[in-house]
Parts: sequence; structure tokens; C-alpha cells
Amino acid sequence: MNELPDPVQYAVPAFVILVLVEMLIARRVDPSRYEPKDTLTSLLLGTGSTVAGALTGSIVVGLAVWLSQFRLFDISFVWWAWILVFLLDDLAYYVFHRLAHRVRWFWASHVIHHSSQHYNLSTALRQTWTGFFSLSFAFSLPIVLIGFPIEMLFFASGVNLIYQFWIHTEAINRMPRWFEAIFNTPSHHRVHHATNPRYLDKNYAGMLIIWDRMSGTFEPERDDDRPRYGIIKNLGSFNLLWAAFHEWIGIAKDVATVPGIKNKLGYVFRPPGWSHDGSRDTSDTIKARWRESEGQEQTGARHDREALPAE
Amino acid sequence: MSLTVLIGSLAAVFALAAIAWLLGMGRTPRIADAEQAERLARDAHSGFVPTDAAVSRDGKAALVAGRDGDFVLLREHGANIAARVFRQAPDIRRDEAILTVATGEKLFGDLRLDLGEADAARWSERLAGGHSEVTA
Repeated sequence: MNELPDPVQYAVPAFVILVLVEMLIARRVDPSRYEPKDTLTSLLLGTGSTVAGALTGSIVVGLAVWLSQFRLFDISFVWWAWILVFLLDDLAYYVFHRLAHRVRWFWASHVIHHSSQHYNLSTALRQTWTGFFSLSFAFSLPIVLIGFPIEMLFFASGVNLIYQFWIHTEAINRMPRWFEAIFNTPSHHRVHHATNPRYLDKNYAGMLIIWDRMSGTFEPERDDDRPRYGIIKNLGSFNLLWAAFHEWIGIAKDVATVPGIKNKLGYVFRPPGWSHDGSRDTSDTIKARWRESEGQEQTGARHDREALPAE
Repeated sequence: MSLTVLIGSLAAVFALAAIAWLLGMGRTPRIADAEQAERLARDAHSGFVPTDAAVSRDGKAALVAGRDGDFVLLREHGANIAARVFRQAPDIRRDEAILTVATGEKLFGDLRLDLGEADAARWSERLAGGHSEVTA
């Protein structure tokens, strides 16, 4: 069995230094990019996530080892396997991430990462405490069943996580065009964290933006529609426990109060914002209203132009 | 994860937050006028068509009324503005120049709008009576 290091452990000191560097840049460019209480909440959520991961990690490893006895192939540590495992792990991340925004059960964990109204490197570390509970690890397990070594998969997942750190910044505008075409970048990921209707449920990529381009979920960042970060119903609080558990509490309240099993299941598994009486907004209803209002504005502008006297 | 690593991580977390505070990061925003409040409300609630706004004299909060009888409540939150949408007039109470809007959320809190006595009375009457327009 090959022993591979946990790349995330080695990256942590670099994370701390880069947060500090970005803070110093922000102080010169735009001090509102950081807010001390928001930074503290994000970093404490990150620390809690690491603790939760340490507590449940052995169960995930045990499950992967158990599943590996049913593997289809015996793949060794050959060069092409490394390339394939990085690609498959990134694809698995895309699938997980897309569902994490479209199924409230997964969203209840993932919303923590989006619940800051800031977009900086501390936001990258704002991670869930309940990933194990929401079964987010299950999306990578098919790779074990194919027959890739478990250590190789975990190493690739660690590298993927590290990659996603640096894209949480406003300090970098655009990367070279070839890079923007293939890889996830700060610009692409700013779109993902934005609540502007145009940007909702777009750019789910981990490392490679090609999955979004292939699946029709890609949206480029526009200079005339600057991203507004956060969630549709921003927390309005820096309370750590509320940030960690608010959506789970919301699910529990909805399930407890709504009549009918179909409605109860809807509040757990349908998209975030779904309600049995249509009284809340999903990203789809928000987008529809936005398209309608955009259409009205464009029609109004066209009428205004037509009403102008010809020169 | 060892206890030493956990203590080290927590020390780094508090150090970074303290540095952010020492550097003076996160300027508190102010809502300057009704125009800005209406723009913020449109950003917060897709398709919202604002008709008029009550902005607290300290710039810390605002209530924006919409064409369809909906309302958007705005208040500062750190270096940003947080919003709440009401499909109908929210519960309010008035104490002279102060209008307090109930959100029903303990952690978001009720909102205190210092509107001046005349505006507070007008908005209070409107929200209590469900009038569609406030006459200046």
C-alpha cells in the first residue's frame, strides 16, 4: 500500500500567509473586502469543519476500503491512472456541487460556504460541519468501485480542495484566455458565489470549467453586472452556530409543520426555496422574474428609441 | 488532528481576525438616500419595482415599498447590507420619530428606523392601513 501525504496539511501555512497578503492588498484597494467579524466566523467554520472531518474521516476511509473489495479493475499507481483519477474526481465534484445547489438536503451543508457576503480567501475556508451527515462523500465512491487506489483518490481530492482556495478572491481579475477556457478561475467562481439572478446556479466547477461548458451551466462574469455575494436570504448575523446549522433547522421546522408526506419530502429534497404553497423563491422563480423585468426594460427602451424624432 | 494542531489553528484564526480589525477593514456602509435604498432593494429582490422608501436618518436602515404591495427591509450587516422581503406590510410600531419594524427573526432582529416625526407618522399610518402610496 502506497502511503501518500495529506496535501491539505502542508497547504495550511500557505493559506494563512495568503489570507494575510490578500488582506493587505484589500486595505489599499478596498477595505470593505474584509470584515473582522465575517473573517472570524469564516475561519472558525473552517476550523470546525476540519474537526468534523477528523471525527468522521475514519468512517469514510473504512467505507471506501470495504467498497474496494467490489472493484471492477485493479488499477496501480501508473501515470495514466493519476490523470484519470484527477479528471474523475473533478467530475464527481462537479456532480456533487451541482446537486448541492439543487437539492435542499445537500444545500443545507453547502450553504455554509456561500453564507458570507464577502468574497475573499477566508471565504474559501468557510466550510461545512455537516458534510458527513449530508453524505457528500458518496459522490467520490464510484471511483473506488472502478478500482482506483483509495490513497490516490484521497490525494487527488486534497489537491482539488487546495486548488479551489486561490480562486476565492477579488484581487485577481482575469487569467490568460487559454487558462480561463480550461480551468476554474477567480472570475468564474465569483459568478458562482453571486446572487445576481443572471449568475444563480452557474459555474459549479472544482478545478476544470470544462464540465460547466459541456453541461450548459457556464456563465461568464460581466463587467456591467458586478457580482453581489452571499445567499438569497442573507443571514444578517455573525452567529457561528446559526451559520453552521440554520438550513438544517429550517428543514426541521418545515417538515414538522407542513401537512402531508409529499410536502415534507419536498422540503427535504426539492430545490432550496421550494415551498408547498409557492410562497418562497427558488433560483428558478427568481430568474424567471428577472428575465421578465429585463424584457420589460428592453421593450421600454426600444419604444423610447422609436419615439425619438429622426434626425 | 492533534490537540496541538487544533490550538495552533485557533491561534492563527484569532490572529487573522485581530489583524483585520487592526488594519481597519470592513467599513460600515450607510444608506445615503431613497434612491440608493431603492437600488439596494431591487438588487435584493428580483423583479421588485420600488415606489418609495423610508430611510433612517442615521443611514443604518431603510424600508422600501414596492408596486405590488411588497416591501424590502434593509439594514447594515458588517460591511454590507442585509435585506428581508415582505410580501405584505410588515408589523410595525411607532414611538414618536422612531418606527420599529418586526422581522420575526431573533438573530436578524427588529429594525429601528429614525424617520423624524412627520415621516414616521405617515409610514405608520400607511403600513397599518395598507395604503399604497405615501403622500409627501
